[in-house]
Amino acid sequence: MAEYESIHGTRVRYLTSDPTLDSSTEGQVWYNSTSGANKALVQIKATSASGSLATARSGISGGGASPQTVGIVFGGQISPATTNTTATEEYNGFSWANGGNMNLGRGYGCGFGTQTAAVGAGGYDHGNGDQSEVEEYNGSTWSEVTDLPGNQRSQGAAGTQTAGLVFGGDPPGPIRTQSLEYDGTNWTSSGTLNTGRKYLAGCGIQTLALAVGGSVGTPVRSAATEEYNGSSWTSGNSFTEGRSALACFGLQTHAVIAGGDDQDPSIVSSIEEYDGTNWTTSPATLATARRYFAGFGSGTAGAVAGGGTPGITAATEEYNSSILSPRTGVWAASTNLPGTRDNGSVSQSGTTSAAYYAGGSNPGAPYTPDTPTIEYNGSSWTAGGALSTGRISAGSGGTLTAGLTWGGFQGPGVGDNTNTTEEYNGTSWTGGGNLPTPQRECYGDGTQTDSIFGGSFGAPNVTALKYDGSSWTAISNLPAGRFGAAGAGNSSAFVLAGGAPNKTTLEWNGSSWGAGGDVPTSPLFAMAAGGTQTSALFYGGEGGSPSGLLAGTFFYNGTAMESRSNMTQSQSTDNSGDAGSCLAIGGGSPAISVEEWDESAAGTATASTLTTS
Amino acid sequence: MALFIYGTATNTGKGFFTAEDRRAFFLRGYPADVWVVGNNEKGAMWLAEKNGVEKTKAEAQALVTADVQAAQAAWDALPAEQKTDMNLRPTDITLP
Repeated sequence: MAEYESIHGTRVRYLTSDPTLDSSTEGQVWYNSTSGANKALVQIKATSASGSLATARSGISGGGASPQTVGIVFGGQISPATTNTTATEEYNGFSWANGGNMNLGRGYGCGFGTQTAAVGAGGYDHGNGDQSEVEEYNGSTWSEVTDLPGNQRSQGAAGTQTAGLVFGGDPPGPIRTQSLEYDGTNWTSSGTLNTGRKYLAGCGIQTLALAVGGSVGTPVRSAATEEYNGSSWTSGNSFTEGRSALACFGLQTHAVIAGGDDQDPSIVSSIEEYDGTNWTTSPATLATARRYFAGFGSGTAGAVAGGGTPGITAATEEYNSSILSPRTGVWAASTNLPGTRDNGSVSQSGTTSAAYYAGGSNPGAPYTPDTPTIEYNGSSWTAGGALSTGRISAGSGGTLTAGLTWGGFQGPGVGDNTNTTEEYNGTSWTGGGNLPTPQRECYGDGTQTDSIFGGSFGAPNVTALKYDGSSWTAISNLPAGRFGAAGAGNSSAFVLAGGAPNKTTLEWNGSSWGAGGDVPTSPLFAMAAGGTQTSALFYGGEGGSPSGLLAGTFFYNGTAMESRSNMTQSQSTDNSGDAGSCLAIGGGSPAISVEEWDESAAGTATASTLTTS
Repeated sequence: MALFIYGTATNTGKGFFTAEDRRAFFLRGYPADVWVVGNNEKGAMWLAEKNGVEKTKAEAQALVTADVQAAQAAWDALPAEQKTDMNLRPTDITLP
């Protein structure tokens, strides 16, 4: 068998730390002597579903300069060729919310800008024909501004509200080559396209824009690329599959095109990427082929929404491209608990050699919440101080010498859930600030002086609270209620995943909730979690079809959930430690097992994002 | 063995299919909430987890065709001035 050196002419590099990683390092292989792991880079591209538009529509416009998680779309038609819509919708990476309506409903115009500073220009108003109307959006309302110098539709667009660019389209016939620059007030003619076309797409900024595809007259579809430098257009390399009514997002040096219709005309699902010189066909495709739709975002993180399929769709898809480094890690058996335990409180910020496990109960109903604490030193379990209130399914965090537990189920006949909080000093538990209301399955993470959780069992399960060492304070509610979610991080950077009935991943940035990368299977309930918002391990829990205990392990890198090696047995377990090294304590069958995760250990090679180029 | 599994499922938005799903098995959506997935364990599990209703290929094709034919009939009924290049007649779709 050929060796790496004979193929590449070099030996595998021996490094004490990972190199700076970007797309230029794709395919490189090295050995990290610190972690003891072989590493390499591969690129992953894929689309995924996201929240659907409230108003399904075709001929839709969008703010192409918007980031993937802060998008905007507006206008379009809501039934074939008969009804305009004025509806605006704003995207948060998770779902769409209604924005202010346009003054003039129309479709097949063009849009550019961002969610808080967008422009809608031209378009077709059914009943009144092509339009020159231009409107600006300020994040809440649309205002009429200077019209285009003539009626037009089906143009491409790029740029921002104060530095925009509109090009191509029709009429006047047969097909426009004209470009118009917008400075936030006035329209000025600029360079002409080399290939006039309509239903083309564009992206980039006013001085570095890209015009792609379009129809050059029925039924011919263009695969032409042209680059704009602020004054003139230059032809670039064509892409593979000529198409019109496509979407384009990104920049002139890294753009993505998706969907559209080809010469048949069949609606297509293919995606191609541009690196500033050449196009390559992405291994990813749209799940739902579509045309006349909107796209926004960057060349590595974009989104598309709406369109014709050939009916009208509300579906949204995200496109992500990441540079990944295969990583390893395995679970190994550790010292069993002295007796069966389930759903206890655990030192989530502890280590694999300094952990506590408090409360919990016998596995299986009827549950009898217990008070003892046991402590782990890396090799054996010994008795610690008892909780004042026996509890199961409580939230917990902290370390062996500075632990915290809150809420939980006290058992029937005792008063159902508790609102009490207790703090551990390595010897004994004392009372902390109480929760506003009794709750259970309010899993979270943090330390004795900085903890957080979102969701709980019982209304309102949109609840999210943080603890500062003495009291709990409400933070913004979750976008949708859930219970049994798992989380990692602290009150300034937290990731919440799984749970029921809504399993999507959420990120808390200290002031608001946003969408994160989801666990790739569903549903998942009562997973264990540890680490930080950008480096967390989620594992175990319950779910699947039929429902049962799970052994799956996922690493969250701040963007996406990636599969890791399974635990040796399925467990609805509890975590102590971080993403690199942690304990899964109890919760299996029998519920005495403890497993230890070691990321540096050789195991099934899986992928983890280190850098996105 | 058939290459694909056919079924209907309602797109519930975020998480309905993930990037890992797209990498793990063939998945494609069609009108009438018809989904075609690879005939393998992951594809089958996905459809089951989405409360999908498995269909035969003929049944799935009939659903798609009915949806397309309805769109074609609506298009055919439009006045000529609305049959423009921005509103092309829906074309037939053949499932893989």
